[in-house]
Amino acid sequence: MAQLPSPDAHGLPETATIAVPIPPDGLTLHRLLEHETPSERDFEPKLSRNQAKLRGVPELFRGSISHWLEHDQAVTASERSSCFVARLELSAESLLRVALTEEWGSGHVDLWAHPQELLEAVAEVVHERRRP
Amino acid sequence: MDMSVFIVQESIHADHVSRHGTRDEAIAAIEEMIRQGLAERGEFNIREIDDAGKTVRVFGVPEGEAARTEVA
Repeated sequence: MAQLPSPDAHGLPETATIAVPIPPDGLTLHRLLEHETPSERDFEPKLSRNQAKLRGVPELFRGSISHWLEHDQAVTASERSSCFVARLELSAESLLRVALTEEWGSGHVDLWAHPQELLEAVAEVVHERRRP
Repeated sequence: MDMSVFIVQESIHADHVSRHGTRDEAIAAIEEMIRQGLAERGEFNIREIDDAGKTVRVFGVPEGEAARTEVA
């Protein structure tokens, strides 16, 4: 698995953000979807500048969206008894930038990218059903 | 010692909003967004993570929860 730089390994506070391009060997990430069929809306940051400010979201993260290194990490982040998790295969030849941001949970990654590019990177969608 | 952290997140995609030291603070943050008209009930939920960053549970904020929290 490709390694992303962590603030801890660089002697930085946990809340530091190190955004890097996709590693040369590519990167696999997982994202919760609204429906089984992914759409650009699933990869579109939703907050306006004022909404982010009022909600206490730093401007840096207004344009990023959450992904996970592992499928199971994405599943457990959902409250829904039935959820959809997309596996994205991201290549190095892109404008994407990614940061390991584990202050939000183990394996959490923030991603900055054009939604269309992320939609095109979806390799699989898994429908997970949780037992009652 | 319990070192749980409570993440306010968007309910469907789990996009993070804010980080809190207690469940009540996280609930209050969501209720405040609703009061200000910045969010609808159910739009956000709370993800509890342990000191290793592992998700322990995810839960919503039922209507009236903030009032009960304030009384308690």
